[in-house]
Amino acid sequence: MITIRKSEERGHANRGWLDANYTFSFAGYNDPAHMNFRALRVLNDDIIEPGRGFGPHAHRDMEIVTYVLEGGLLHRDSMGEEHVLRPNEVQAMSAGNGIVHSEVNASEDERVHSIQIWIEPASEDLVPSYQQIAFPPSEKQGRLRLLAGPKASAGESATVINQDVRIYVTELASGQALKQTLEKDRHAWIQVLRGNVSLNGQLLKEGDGAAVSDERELSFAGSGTGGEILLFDLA
Amino acid sequence: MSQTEVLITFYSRCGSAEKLALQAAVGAVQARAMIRFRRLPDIAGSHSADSPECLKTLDRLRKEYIGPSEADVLRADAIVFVAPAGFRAVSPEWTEHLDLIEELRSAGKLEGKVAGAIQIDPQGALPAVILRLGFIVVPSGADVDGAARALAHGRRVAELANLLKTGSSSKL
Repeated sequence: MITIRKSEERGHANRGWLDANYTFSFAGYNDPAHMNFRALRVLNDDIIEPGRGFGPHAHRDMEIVTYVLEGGLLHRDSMGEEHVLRPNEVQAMSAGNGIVHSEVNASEDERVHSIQIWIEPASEDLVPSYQQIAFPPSEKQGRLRLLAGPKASAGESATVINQDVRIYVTELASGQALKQTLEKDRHAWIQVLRGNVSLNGQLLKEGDGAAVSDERELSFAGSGTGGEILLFDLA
Repeated sequence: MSQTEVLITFYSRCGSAEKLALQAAVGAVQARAMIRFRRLPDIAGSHSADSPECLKTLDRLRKEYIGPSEADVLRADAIVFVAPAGFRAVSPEWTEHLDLIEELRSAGKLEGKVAGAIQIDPQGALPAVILRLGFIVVPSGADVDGAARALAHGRRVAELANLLKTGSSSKL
């Protein structure tokens, strides 16, 4: 079963410095019908104006994965980590038993477009941690590139999160096809970051999401000028 | 019952006191409190020339934080005050805020609120000043490292506020 979450049906907030679309309930957007999908709790699509951002704030017991589509996002935290996250990089922060961080646009001239993902951890009170990795764009072109998973994989560097969830990214050119098999009793969430992609014959446009359950074979194809998607493989 | 709210009120120009404020906040979060940061606004001409690095930090601090309001104080179950080295109650950045706190104390609006003080100089005057302001004051521990001390103190303040909140709630 595939249930599409249309882009325009997402929650939306525009604070001037922040233009955000919320796939699931977040901050002032509260929709009991869209609280989460499996362990995926938050999927925010944020555009932040130059020099602006989220000042210091706290998190607890959440795996927070951030992926940047455009620009640079400056991260600072209470562990002393200070890094700029750019396209073709992924950041995973395990809030554990408590962390304070800020995320601001690293540029005074260009906006930043970022995707923030919150995954509920498998257990509470973990020790906070921070990881950031970069990868060549070729690794996501026409194939699934693992961004985050429950343990370090042998072949490819990815961030490690404390939950049985794998997050992949892929960029498909027009007409380019990709298949992925879900293991038994697994679920998937697909989020279109850019462009258009079809999923098992159904067209998904930029900003659309799709919840997948009781399906084993996922067939993707770039539509129109192609697109970039995130694939969440969830227990 | 709502989550305990801890207000972290600090003054920092070059980032050292901010680091302690962040650690105090982590401690409060470890105690499952909700936290809010407020940085006291600068007073023009009250400081001598800062280094270039300090000026860069100061610019960031001014962008990232807002100053505390009366509503912030009233909403908080607990407040952790964090001051840089050389704190004096008559420091221009602190005077106005401490006057506000004193007014609230006189009006009986601080009853049941918990507070703690963290200062880079452990022998500084901030704890004594906070003690006079009508809060239930949590004394700081004797941990050697400043960051660990701040974290532990933030946690203790939040834990006491949690206990008081749970206690007052169970009586209702």
